[in-house]
Amino acid sequence: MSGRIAVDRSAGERTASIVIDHPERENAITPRMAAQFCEALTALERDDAVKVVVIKGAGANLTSGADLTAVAQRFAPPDGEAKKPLSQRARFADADLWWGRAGLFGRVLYCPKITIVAAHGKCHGAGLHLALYADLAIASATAAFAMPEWRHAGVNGDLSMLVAAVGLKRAKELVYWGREWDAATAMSHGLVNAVVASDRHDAATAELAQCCAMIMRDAVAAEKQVVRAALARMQVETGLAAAAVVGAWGTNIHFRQGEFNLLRAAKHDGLDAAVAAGAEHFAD
Amino acid sequence: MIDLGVSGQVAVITMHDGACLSAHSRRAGTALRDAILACGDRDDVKAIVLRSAQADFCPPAQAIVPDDDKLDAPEWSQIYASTVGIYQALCYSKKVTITAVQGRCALAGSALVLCSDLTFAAADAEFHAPFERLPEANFVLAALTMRLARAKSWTLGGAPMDARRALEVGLVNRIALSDVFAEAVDAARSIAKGPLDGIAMSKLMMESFLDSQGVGQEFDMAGFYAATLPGAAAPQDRA
Repeated sequence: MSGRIAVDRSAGERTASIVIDHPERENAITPRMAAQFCEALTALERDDAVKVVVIKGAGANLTSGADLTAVAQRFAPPDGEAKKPLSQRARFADADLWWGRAGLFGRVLYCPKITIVAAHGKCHGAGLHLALYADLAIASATAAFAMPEWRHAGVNGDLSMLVAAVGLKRAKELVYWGREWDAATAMSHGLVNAVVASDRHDAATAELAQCCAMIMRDAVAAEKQVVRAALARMQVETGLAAAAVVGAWGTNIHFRQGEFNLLRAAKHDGLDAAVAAGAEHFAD
Repeated sequence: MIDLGVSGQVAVITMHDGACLSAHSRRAGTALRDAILACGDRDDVKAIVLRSAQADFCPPAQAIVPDDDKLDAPEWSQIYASTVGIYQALCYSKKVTITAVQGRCALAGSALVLCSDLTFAAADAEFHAPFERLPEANFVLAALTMRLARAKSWTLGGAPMDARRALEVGLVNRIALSDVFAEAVDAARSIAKGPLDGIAMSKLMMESFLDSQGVGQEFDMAGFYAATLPGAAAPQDRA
């Protein structure tokens, strides 16, 4: 399976970048890439020289979210392949990769380094969550934020950080209505810290990282601990735990007549056709 | 007092006198509560639009309720302030709820807006804080919706918010370009394209989140607020 997580240390010893590199699928993140992402974070966290971790995408997008090819292969293999239903244990293990104690989002949230997301192009699904769980997010004018999978199967992620960032009713636009926010809307709602022209995005992100890298290492560590304590009081840990449970249930829901089942459509018609049919079904 | 219609998996609840809700009318409260609860149990409903047939969604003044429509403290608790009362029924409905607001929105109207998932506003809508006189109104929801400082400013400042300001602070999701009810129904139909199980699961996830933030505890405080707020509109002989 293609796609990888690259680590770029070219900006100097104090700043490292984790690059989501799967441009042929709009930087969709496979389970293997999610594991690689966590491994990269572990290595950077152990490197005392690193103060700032920038998260970015190769090519035109940050990420379109979890790779549906991998999801479809696991839950709805094409006709003729193994049909044994996936156990609930396996479903929990899958959800844990994202939402568990050592899952990708918790790792970003509790990373002891300063984390910055460079958001551009599609920031869907995991892309939106990365913008939420990183310390800072700087968006290109091209950035677009949405949770398209929540329309297909309901919420499968934490809500506490989303509501804390944008407010309850705005969060519900994403949760129930499947709206997509452009960069300006994301900025006005508090999802990102700044929006810059696309031709300035790389430079502006580098400047922000450089600015953060000037903070004393002990001060960074202390401030991150203070934030961690605040997150505990905000019940974020509870939200992550609930997401791990509901994320596993989400692959188990019953579809009624007339409702669009992406995985079933992918099983019969292939993933690309299913995604296109889903877009048509949900078009206003 | 209440009309209920269902079409295309969207229920429309039409209130005819929001001021009666602010005055804790037994009949108006029971009718609205029953309509919300009934929609929650129907498999042919995925979203609910709540609107008013009047020029004002809910005016600031309370209606004069006839004696035979007045309720005592246990009834007030049951119809307005309990876990199956109007506000908790709306807040924790298994369906996605949308309020379509035009004109003045105060007291019960503002409490309903806070409890609904999404709010569409006409350009002439104005939102009055309900907390001083309506003990069932949930301040935690206001703080989660617009952040604490803005919620305090809304309730202590005394002035209503116009639709534009309500949009800025997050109390409103959209200002309608023309017909607020039609646009709310369009959004409800769009939401209703999702799977019923998915909507129910999302609502449960949201309920879990709201309770982790103290929303349920705030609802439980209504009896205390009714007994202590000088201008409270709830019955004097409280449970």
